[in-house]
Amino acid sequence: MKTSMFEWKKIRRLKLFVALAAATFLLITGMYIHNVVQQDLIPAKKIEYFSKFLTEVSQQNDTDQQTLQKSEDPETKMRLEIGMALVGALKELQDAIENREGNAELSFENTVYQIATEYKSALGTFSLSQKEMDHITQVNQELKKRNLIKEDFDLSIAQPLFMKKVTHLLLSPVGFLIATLLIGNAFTKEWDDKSMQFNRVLPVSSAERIIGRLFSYWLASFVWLIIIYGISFSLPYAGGRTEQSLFSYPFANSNGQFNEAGGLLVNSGIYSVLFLLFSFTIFLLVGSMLRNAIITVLLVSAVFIGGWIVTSVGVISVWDPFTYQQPIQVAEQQKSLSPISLLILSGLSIVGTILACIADKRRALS
Amino acid sequence: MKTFLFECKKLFRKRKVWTAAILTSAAIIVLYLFFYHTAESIRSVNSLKAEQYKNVFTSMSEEARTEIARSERTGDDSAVKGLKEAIVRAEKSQENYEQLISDFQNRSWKRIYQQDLDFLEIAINEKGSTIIEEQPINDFTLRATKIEKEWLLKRNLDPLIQQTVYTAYLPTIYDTFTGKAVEEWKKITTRYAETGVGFTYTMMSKYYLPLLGLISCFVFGNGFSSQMNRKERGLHFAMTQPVRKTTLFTANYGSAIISVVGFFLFLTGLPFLCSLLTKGIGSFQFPVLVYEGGKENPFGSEFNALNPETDLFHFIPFQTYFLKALVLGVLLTLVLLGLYTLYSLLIKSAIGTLVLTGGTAAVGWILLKTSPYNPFTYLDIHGVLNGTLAAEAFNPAFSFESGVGVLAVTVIVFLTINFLVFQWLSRRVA
Repeated sequence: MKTSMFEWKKIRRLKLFVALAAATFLLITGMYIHNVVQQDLIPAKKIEYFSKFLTEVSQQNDTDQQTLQKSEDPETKMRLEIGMALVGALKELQDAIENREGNAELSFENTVYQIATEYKSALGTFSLSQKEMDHITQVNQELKKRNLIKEDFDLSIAQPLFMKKVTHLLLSPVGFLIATLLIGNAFTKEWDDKSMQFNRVLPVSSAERIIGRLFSYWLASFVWLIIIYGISFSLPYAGGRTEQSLFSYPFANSNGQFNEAGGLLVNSGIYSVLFLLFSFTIFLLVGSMLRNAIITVLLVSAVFIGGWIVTSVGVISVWDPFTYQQPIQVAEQQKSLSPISLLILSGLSIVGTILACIADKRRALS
Repeated sequence: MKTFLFECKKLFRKRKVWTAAILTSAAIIVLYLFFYHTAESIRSVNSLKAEQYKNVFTSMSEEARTEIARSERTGDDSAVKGLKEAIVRAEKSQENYEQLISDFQNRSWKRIYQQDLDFLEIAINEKGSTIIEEQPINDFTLRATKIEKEWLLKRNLDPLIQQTVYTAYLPTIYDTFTGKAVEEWKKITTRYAETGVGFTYTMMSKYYLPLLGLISCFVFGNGFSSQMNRKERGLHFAMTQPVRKTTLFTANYGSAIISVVGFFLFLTGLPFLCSLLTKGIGSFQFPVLVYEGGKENPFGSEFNALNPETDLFHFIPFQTYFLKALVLGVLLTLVLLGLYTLYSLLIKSAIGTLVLTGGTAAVGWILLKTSPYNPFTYLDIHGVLNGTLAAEAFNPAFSFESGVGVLAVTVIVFLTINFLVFQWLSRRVA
């Protein structure tokens, strides 16, 4: 315990840790201000999206009208009728978006897709696949069920959505790597400063030294996580978007299941905590084997980035610890917290710690 | 000169520098081999898919044959005639797929290119006929893909590998898919390479060169900080000797520049060396798309929009692109080295310096990427050289020439700042 308190003190005094905390704070605040400024753009963005369909259908209607003037064709007539109704529905939808009537927007959007389905079966062009329309309709129904309105995933300043955006950005391979390197610098720095030599003559066992450090670095990363979650929680709170029901905002995954925002945030937080533990054991293991800052950083980065590339090329598995570098994506794909994931991360961390203790016993000093 | 050689000798005598260099090289080699194997497996998956499609037609014609026998027994002549036609069609498709599979395996691309070109000709003439998840592929992408295929066919080059057995499209900035179509489009247009040229080209669009520059700085750019930290005071000792501080600075900075740029060039060339052991270097004639951008709207810049039907483009050979990218890459590496040295003079922790340099460059790039006079804009070397930045901003100032100018000026500015900081620090010592 005393060792970890001592190590924690060292980290706290380190400028780099303060810099990490400050940078995180500035980044989140910057994002929040950016989103607040962009609020007026959200309806405009949506209207632009739907006007693409409006143009498409109106053009088809014009052509159909011209065809009908030349000759009577029941199929074209039917398509024109549906097309007219579709144009009307799209306009109503755009009005609802412009007037910010969230609930009406959901109903109108569903109506649009309903008519569009008919329109497509009458051979009209509507550039959205049936699968996609069904999916959006399902999401909209879920939202209506919870009495929520549709939010913009990128620009929203509603508490859980903003938190999800922030965690998506910071609890990512790059974010984890930077946090690990900056906090772990307290360890590699001692080899370069040669204070490790002094440290080794103290009556402290390898296990105590490694576990003490691991615990304090983990604590530091925990502080970093609290900063991320805390600030992204409190800024929208101060901004006024705090409806409690927002935490049940549904997110659909690729299997068509819905996860609630609150659960997602909690699960990804738990994965992050465990992944940070795992990444520090890797750092301590590599660090106590190589005993040099530059080489340790290069190797750890290579391992992390390599793991990231493997997952991004598509080899995703719950057994691969590097999958959890993107905790929010993992949480989105799972229905609930997976015990295998927890077991893998904590098991590998324990193995890593034991190996690090063995590596630390070697007496050679570089 | 003597001090310079001395500094170089010191740098190259360090075991940890060599270990770091070897480690980085190993990482690049592993990266290349990983992508090489991914490309290989995608190629075999494509063959397998074609095999599956072929089997569908084989079983179709077999079914039709049994159906014919049954119809002949009942004496239904019209059904027999229709079924015979179906068999002919199925056998034709089957043959096509067989040809495709053997072309895939023998890497003979001529026939595939020719088929793609025939198809693209129709697709361009019938607007909106080619779709991904019911969303049409835009005219620009179709035109660009067609010219690319013509280029490949004319020069008899191998294509990059994509996850599709049909037309391998060239993705462009004009693609405006939404929802599920985005994923599908990304899946079929992501390109994987087997050759050295292909690997370098595909990686260069992902900020590969600036990253190599940053790593080179991290491995070879610690000359000042490693001699000025709390325990090692080599530079402080040198300052007390009858050597001019300017000489000391130039020697240290010069040795860093030579080794960092040398290492950067070595890392860039490494995949080409590796590829000699696999599928060869590949052709330097490979086409690279360059956007020529759209016309500005006479009613004001806020109405500027890219027009997929009229905007122009052209292709340049990879060698031209690569040489320009190398010039920008080297200059960018020097800018990063300048920034890295400045931070390392001030904070003396290699990790902190690395993260701060990367962070400053990233923030500088994100906040000011709309300005052609911001040196960090040129982190997107690919975007500058293929005209993406110029086309999207409707500003031709984002060019290779302005990149060279802006980066060269920044290199000099950092050199001056570093010299002044070094002077200031040495005065505190003496």
